[in-house]
Amino acid sequence: MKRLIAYLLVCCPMLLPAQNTSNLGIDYFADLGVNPGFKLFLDKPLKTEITYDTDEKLKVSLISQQVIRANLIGYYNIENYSAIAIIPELLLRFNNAKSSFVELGFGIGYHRSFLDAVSYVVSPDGSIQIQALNGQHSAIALFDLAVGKNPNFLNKSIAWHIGLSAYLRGPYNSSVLLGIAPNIGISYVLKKKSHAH
Amino acid sequence: MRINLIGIVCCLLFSACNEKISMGTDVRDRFFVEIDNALLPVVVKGNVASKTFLIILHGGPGGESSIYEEFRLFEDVESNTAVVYFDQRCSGASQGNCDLQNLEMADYLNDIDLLIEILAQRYGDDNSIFLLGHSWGGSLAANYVLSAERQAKLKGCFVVDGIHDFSQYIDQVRTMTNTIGQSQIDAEINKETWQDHIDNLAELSGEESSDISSANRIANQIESLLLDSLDSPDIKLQDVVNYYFFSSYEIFSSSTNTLVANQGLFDEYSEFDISNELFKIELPIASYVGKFDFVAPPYYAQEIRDRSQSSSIDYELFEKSGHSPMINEKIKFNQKVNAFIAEHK
Repeated sequence: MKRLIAYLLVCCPMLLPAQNTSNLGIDYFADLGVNPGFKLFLDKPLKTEITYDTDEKLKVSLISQQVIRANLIGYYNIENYSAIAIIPELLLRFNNAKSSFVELGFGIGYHRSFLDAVSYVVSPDGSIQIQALNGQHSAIALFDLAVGKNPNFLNKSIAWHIGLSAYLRGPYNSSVLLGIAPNIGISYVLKKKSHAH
Repeated sequence: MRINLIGIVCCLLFSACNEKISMGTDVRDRFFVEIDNALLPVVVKGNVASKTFLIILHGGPGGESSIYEEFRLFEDVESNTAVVYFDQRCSGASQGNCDLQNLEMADYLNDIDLLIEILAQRYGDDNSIFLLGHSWGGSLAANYVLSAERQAKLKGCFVVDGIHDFSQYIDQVRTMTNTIGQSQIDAEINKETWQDHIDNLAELSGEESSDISSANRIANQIESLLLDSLDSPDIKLQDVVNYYFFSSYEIFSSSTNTLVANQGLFDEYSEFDISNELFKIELPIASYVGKFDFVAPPYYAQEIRDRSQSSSIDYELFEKSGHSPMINEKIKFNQKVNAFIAEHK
């Protein structure tokens, strides 16, 4: 299982056609605003469009990118449970000439909760057995909005961002459960990118 | 290297599972009950060594138990008794199966049976068990003790601000609102708001089940008009912060569960009427209510007092309370609970 998670995180984005450089990033991810956690992600741009300023030749005014991202999210609720989620995500990123950027993302993935407790499991015949609690498997849909700054986005750099993730987790008691998580973090360009204009 | 790092992260997240059973005087144990794929969290807190357990049935349908624990509403009871806080199915932080189509009060009563059985398995079968139901939990508690077999499992039962007959509900809320509302209007206190509530209740015929929801909504709003008549809750900022940020309370799961449970149980609950069966109650029973409880008017507590056949009935009208006397008059409430348990355990 651990090897599979590692494979999905590390290898899948690299299998995509290499069009641009990848970003590796980490966010502090606060599930429900308070449950501490982290989001590790790896970006791979699928398509990049650069708009140049018409008045000043060669001056970039906007970069828009379609990005695929692999997310590994883990968080811990002090009284409830810890959880991990693995979520491939598609992003739209807009980076302007002043190096500010906005990202909008949507992903669907897998959520797994873990509980440090025992459960008294009542079988249909009424007998009761004690079992370690395995937590829950559920599907999760993630919506991301982030804004940030990439100080020197045409070259290599560390960019910072803040954002808000909203997610829908289901089924949860036959219902879809809403969650929110503020994020703050950095990303790093793995390979220096060269632009030929 | 990357694989190792991820492995370490996963190991940290995969916490070890162990069964913790404490037998002391200041205990906090947490475990779960899993039935029909519904997963119900249980916290046992307080004096387990007393071998006396008080099971709290929270409000709702679809409320949650952590509010009672985190705001220390049974703080003094916990010194003498082990208080059992558990989230009912489709409530609070409970997870798993919540089959709306087949959700019945009977499921909740069966869950209480199982919880009692599990408490015996964990802590021994020589314990004294008491049941305390508040609001919707009060309805459940009254319903639970109609059965002689179930009464035999308990030493006593508290019904606090419960409703056991919805056929009388709108009339009772209306009568109480008219009486107290008119006195407030005469005293020129919130005249327009009281008149609106009186007028709105007058329009409810009771023919539609939604009329009960409307009456219940108005009753909840009225309590905020009477804050001067109620004792101020002993709730500190630290409690509020702890509740929202560091407790088992989960705002989204609780909200979702409340919606779900209300939807699933509304039809059955709005027709709930066990008034003609209250005579079956023979075990020691405490019937408590706030004087200014418009949500579950004192009529219901008085009916339990008058109709049950219990050998020991402790009726109390909390003079400075609304729908939750354990909040408004916490010290007195805890004293009453402690005294009742000490007498009957």
